[in-house]
Amino acid sequence: MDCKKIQDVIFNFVYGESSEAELEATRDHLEKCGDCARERQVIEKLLSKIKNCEPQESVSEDCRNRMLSKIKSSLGGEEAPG
Amino acid sequence: MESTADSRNLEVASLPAPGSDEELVMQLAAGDAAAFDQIFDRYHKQIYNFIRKQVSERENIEDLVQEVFLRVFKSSKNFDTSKKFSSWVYKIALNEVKRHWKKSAAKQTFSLNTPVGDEGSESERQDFIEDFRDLPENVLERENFSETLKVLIDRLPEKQRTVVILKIYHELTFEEIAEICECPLSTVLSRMRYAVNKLRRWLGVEED
Ligand SMILES: [Zn+2]
Repeated sequence: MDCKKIQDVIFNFVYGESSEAELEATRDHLEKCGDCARERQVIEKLLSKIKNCEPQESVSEDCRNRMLSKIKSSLGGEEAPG
Repeated sequence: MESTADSRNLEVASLPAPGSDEELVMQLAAGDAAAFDQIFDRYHKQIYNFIRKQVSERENIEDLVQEVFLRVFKSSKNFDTSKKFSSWVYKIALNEVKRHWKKSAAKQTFSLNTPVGDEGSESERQDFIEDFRDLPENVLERENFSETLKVLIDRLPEKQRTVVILKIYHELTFEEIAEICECPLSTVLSRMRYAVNKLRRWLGVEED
């Protein structure tokens, strides 16, 4: 694994989705290469910043009921598909 | 004899687990309308938030969510229960969002300025120049990080934005995202890489 190849696999690695072979090779490289290790830290920090800055919005009970009843009225008397 | 046992195991294994999303869709497809409410309650918040991040006009969100679940209801029979329901419902939501983009692109000429290249076919340098074209003024100096980020995520090409939202906010795997976007895993990964690199440059994020 070289520095260029790391770019292709770094997101898999950061999210724990690397294949077994990829995992070992990535880990090896990150241990040896300071540049890529820093790169990984920057990416992880940015991803968590992005994630934390916008939490899921809650959907009010009113909104939930409104949507559900509109769906049901669009279906009219339509039976469940079975 | 052995092969019979094997195929029986296979059959059992392919049945959705009790209480799972997949079982609920099977029940819905078999005519149990009550299963629909449960599906709606499990997924409407996620789908609402997914759509909210993809469309700019707030008033459209509820309509789009309704469309998604209407489709779930009507096409539950077509659902392949060996697949994950969550990927299927996001795929339906993405299709609704795309339909919406098309409609609003027809109405609003500004969307024509949105960069479309996203697979990294152009050189990094070209990409870099494109990035700064039409970037809202002072975006990098804004104090409020979430506001800034929201503007920047909206600025991403649609396909990259979808990957970023599904990955970062919805925590789906890249495999699931590939299925939802109906493209190869490698494409999803490169969209993610391009998007994150852009956000990073726009934000001026460097190691401290
Ligand atoms: Zn390296």
